[in-house]
Amino acid sequence: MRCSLKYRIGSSLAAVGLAAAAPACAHHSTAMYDRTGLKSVSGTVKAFLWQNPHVVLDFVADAKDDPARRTWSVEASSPGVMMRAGWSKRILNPGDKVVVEIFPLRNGLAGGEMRRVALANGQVLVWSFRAGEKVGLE
Amino acid sequence: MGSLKAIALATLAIAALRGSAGAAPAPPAGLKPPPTQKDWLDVAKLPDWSGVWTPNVSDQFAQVNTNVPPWTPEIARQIDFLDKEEKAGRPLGILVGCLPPGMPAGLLINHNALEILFTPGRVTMLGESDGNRLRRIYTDGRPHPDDVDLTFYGHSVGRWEGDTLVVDTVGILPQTWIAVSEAVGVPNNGDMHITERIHLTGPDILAFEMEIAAPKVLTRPWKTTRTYFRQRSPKYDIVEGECVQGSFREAQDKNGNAIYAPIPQTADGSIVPTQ
Repeated sequence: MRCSLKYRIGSSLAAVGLAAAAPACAHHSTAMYDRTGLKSVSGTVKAFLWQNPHVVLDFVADAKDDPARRTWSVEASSPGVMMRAGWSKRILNPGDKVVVEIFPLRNGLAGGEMRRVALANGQVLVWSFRAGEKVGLE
Repeated sequence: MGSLKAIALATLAIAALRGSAGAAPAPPAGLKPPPTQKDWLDVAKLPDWSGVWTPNVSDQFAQVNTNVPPWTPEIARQIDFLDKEEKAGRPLGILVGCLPPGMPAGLLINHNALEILFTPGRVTMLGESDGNRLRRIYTDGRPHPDDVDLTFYGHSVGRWEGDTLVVDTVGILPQTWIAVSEAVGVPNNGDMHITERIHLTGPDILAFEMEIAAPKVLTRPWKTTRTYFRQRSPKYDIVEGECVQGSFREAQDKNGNAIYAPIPQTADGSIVPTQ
């Protein structure tokens, strides 16, 4: 699924806008994430990339959760899977205040797998790649 | 008129009448005839595998521990190493690069939806995302070719036994993975032969009973069953999901045209930082 998020194309690209912003990494394994506990990081959306193979959320962390106020880049699944979980390409926009729950990268860098995003309006977005394990889902 | 001449004329007349009545001429030898209406009606008699099939991912994870492939000792050593590497946070990226997972990985570790199409003489399986999962299973009675060209999904022939599709696949590239997870697996290394019995186990559950013979890496054939759940909601219609798209960024060429520019990457899929 996702590659190491050690490197990012410069944040100047992300500042330009949405779809033209920083790209995602290639397919890889999710085993690089620490799944022993969710890490909660609040911040402000910089870019939301609705793309294959993985939807990516870039957000600038609030100091209380990340004193260095890094730009976190966290990923989920493909647009198909995310759409079925109720997400859409317009559900997150630059400037949105969010609280993101993440399985963080084991190497301590500002990345990981996003499991849950709480929006300012109270809506909570989740997803699971086990969501398809029932017949006749609606 | 002599009787022979009469017969000849009558034969010609009958032939002409047949032609003018629109009977299809036989195709030139060696070409496949178009399917007949009966062929399409026969398709309608097959079991209903319509809809979209989503995999039992939890069972994939469970089988990592409950159904360990009979690896050869050398391969078991490599698998053990990969297992430890994954736990240490240095996973092998089996799907890095977005090559098709091929057989059997495309059925063993994929988390994405699948659809199955029936046409005369063929069963075609198409997957969502995961680098082009596309299998063609020929049910027209053809054999495997001699000296088959090797491919990611192999050459598959199948026959129906009642409502079970029995599939035989050979000619798989040695590079395709026998994977138990996205981080643990080994290339089949060649001469792999996969047989499957695919059938419904309930009105909306499809089972792929697989037997994987891979003499270069397994001491005996490995049996595993993978199950899928049927979806009919329109939101499960399969959407395009081109894995390799994530290796490019949207850009403009010097004429201002919208193009994809490759993102420089290292071998494990990490992006190389640009200035």
